[in-house]
Amino acid sequence: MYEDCKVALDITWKEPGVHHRKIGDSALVLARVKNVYQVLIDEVDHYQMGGRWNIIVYDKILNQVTASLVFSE
Amino acid sequence: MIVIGSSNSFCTVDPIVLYEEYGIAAYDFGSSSQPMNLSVLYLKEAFRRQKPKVVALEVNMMVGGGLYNISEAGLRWGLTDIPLSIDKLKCIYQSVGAVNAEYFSYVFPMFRYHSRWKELTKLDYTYFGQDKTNYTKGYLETQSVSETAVTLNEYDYDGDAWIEEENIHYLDEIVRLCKKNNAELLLFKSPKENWHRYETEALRTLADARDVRFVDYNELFYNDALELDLAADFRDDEHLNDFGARKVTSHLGQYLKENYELPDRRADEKPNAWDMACTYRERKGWKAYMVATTAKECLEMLQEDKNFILIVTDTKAKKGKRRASGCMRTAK
Repeated sequence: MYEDCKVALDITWKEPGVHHRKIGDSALVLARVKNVYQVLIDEVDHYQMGGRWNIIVYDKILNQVTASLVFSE
Repeated sequence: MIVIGSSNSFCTVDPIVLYEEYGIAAYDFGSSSQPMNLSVLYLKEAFRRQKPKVVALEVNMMVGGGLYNISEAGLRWGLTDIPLSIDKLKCIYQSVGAVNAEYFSYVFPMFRYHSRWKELTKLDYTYFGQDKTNYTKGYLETQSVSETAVTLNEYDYDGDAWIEEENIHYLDEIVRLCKKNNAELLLFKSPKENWHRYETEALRTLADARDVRFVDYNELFYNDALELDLAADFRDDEHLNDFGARKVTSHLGQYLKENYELPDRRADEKPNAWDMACTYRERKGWKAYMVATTAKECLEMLQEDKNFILIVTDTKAKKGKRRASGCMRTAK
């Protein structure tokens, strides 16, 4: 996770687990349940399968997700 | 400035455009299918809290049937969120016509909805009004376009305007309220299908008799004084979309500047709510990073904006080798 243009959180999921964090006015939950990954922001899952990279853009002015993008490279 | 009226008002006047182009601080205080007695109620509510210099009334609901033809949905939309007051009770009575179970269901909406407890879904807690930032200042944004081109060429058809006496009575009440509160009243009609010259003329007669200005954008379009793309500027046959609203609002802003003494609020020393609203809209809109073709390209576009938090996942990451292709700085 990047905040203020810097890496603020760096997690490698080798085992199932969950991580909670506050971002802006929202609640962020990063989770791995068995082999299912989730990026929940205010209880909405923004993680998309099918590409190598997911970029979820949260706007601190708007206090909401403005884009949820998936890339293969 | 306060804008009141039906959906034709808040799908037409875009306060952010008025502010960006003319520095006019306006608010769309309308409701769907707002009957004229609700327009009176809304104006009273506005005057309780604000001192608008201009009140713009969209006159769509002046024509056609009276209060008893208004749908329940229109009344609920208009009444539910208005604070309880003597004026609200009077307005409910005018709309329902009796003090009965229906009347009380508007006073205490719980009577209408309490049996819904079995059918509540997540949608009941996440409806679009949940965003309390209200950055549109009452305007209803959409860039959707009507599937078929709108027809405004029936404007010159013959006919007679149908204006109920009770609507004239409520118009007079609005005129009185504006005078009492030192606000100037402007009547306007948004462009839509099935609006005709005879309706324009009937409304103009009413406006002239009350020494009130009236601008009809159907008439202006018909006279080539307003450019609209009928295939692209409407969300449906009665309502403009963002593209059309921008055109009409720009025209209205120019008219307001020429005819009223409205201050340029962009000159305020401190940022005001409209400045914030402009920032919101700017950030909510489409951005180039949304169509980046690679993760690296996307991150390079985003990395200089400190107001973004990015959650980046990499399914093939190896410890110490990710950091989004190396385009972000690491924390110290």
